Amino acid sequence: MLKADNLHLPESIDGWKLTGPPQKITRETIFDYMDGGGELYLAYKFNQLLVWHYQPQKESEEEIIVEVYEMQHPDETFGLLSLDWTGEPVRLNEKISPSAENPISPSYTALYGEGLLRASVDNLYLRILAPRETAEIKDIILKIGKIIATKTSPPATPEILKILKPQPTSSWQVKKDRTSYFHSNLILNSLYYLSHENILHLGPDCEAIYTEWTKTKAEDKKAARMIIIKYPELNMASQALIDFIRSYLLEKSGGAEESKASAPEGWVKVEDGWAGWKLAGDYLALVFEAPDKTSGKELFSRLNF
Amino acid sequence: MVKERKAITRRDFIRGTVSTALGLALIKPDWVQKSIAERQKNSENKSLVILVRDQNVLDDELKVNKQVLTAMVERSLLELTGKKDVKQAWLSLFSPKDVVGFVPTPMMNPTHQELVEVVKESLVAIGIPEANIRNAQGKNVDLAPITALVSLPGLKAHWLTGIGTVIKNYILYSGAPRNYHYEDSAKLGEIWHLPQVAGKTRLIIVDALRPVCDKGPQFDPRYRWPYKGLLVGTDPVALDVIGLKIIQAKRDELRGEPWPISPPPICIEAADSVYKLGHSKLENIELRKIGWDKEILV
Repeated sequence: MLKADNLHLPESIDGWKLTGPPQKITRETIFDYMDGGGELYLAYKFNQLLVWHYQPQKESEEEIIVEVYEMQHPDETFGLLSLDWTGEPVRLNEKISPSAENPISPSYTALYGEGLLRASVDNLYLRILAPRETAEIKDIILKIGKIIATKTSPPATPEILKILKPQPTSSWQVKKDRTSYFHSNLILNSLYYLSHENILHLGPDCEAIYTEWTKTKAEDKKAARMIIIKYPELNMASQALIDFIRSYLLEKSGGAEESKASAPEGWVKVEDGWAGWKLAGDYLALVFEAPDKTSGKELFSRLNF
Repeated sequence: MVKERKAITRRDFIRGTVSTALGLALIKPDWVQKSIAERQKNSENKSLVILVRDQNVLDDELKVNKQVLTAMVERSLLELTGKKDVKQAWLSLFSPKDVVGFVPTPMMNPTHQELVEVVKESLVAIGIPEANIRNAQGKNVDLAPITALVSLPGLKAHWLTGIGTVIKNYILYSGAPRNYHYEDSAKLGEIWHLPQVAGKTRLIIVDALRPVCDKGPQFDPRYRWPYKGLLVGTDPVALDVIGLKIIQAKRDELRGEPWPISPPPICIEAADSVYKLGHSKLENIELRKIGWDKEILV
């Protein structure tokens, strides 16, 4: 794994100079640095953050801020990048071949937009930004990103993404730019709100993906959603399903949540469409807003379990 | 503190049963109940929210034109108070004897310093000594000597609470802000009933010059845009409702399809139905729009 402490940014670059050594932010001090924003990184496996500032050598109010989030694993940086796939894809290390096309998520490792570069560089997540963008500033941001990415390894994606099999002939296709990888209920709620409480028992030992699906030929492009969670233990998946039914589908279960959850697959019509679940070992898959049961079952047919 | 573990879910928002669920879930401590009883407003009156915009308040480099900003603040005060004179408008809300605390957003898309200055200069102009106008944002602020609060939050989406603007602006007064995140963000309204806070807010000006419609509170330039507006009023709930509408409309425009704020800001509904801080339903809010109307979004 890469260590942010081992990074050496150039003292000056194209007329911009470092203002000093990096500020180091730990798990304990992240709230002092960014208040409620710190929870985002703690929801992934955050180690530390180093922050550098560049200013022009000629006196100016401009600045470029280089944030390097050292995470515990490249899956975490993939997760952070996957929260928002918008932007201009950028290759920061020309020596590394772009990753193979992925059937359910984009293969980008760096995205640029409006003065902000976000990148997954092994286990380092980069945010390099300037409050005010110019062509010159964009150039320098990308140069800094390339310097940091010099030692990167070929990118990989979390194993759980392989849980979905491609099916080009299916009438339902995934919207790749909406696929996100996460562990925490807080992240799920920022993507697709289910409840303010952690009704799916998500946590750092879980892995999950959120996906959106649309019907390719339909005029109505309203998306169905599928969330797939891998729990660390078998009984956790089944218990999560019981609690999900109890919290989300209470009046539909007739008080028999455990009995309902013992069926490996189930479907319920709710206000915004069909909701369904599929339990297999330590995996739980949930579908929301399916227009009908048939569509929901077709989504479940894409699962490799 | 949550009375029962009945989880509020997405389905409650779709069915419109959030208020009922919140009423069952949230216990109001004695000091909150007492404060609500003492301050029960006439809920039949609509809450007035002024939206004032001027395309010249920010230049091409997004620097604030303070003269234009001053004019915006003055226009909104006249509209809000119904007075014909700016000084009288301020005097209808504040007295020269007041000790005033400003509560701006301090960091991560902070309130524009120029707005703080304009409000300060306006209060000095009505006879409040400069020494009696102070920054009151923070955990360790002594609110006891402060007789009047001016809330000056920045308009922003918040990834944990949906919106992080008016109702959330006093979170540090709780002494334990982390107790008001996640599902407990529904309780944010109770902070407004703290004895040292209750009844002191005379004016709220939401800095909507460059709001943030996603990824808040962390700065992300992709989701900050020059709306060039201010939202002014005295009802914290109504102001958050209108702010939310603006943010939501911008999100939908950016994606070209509905892009709901997630999680939905549960604090707004609770601030109305449980904590009686103001109106959350649009039919109880009168929105008056002044000035520039291009891409107004509401």
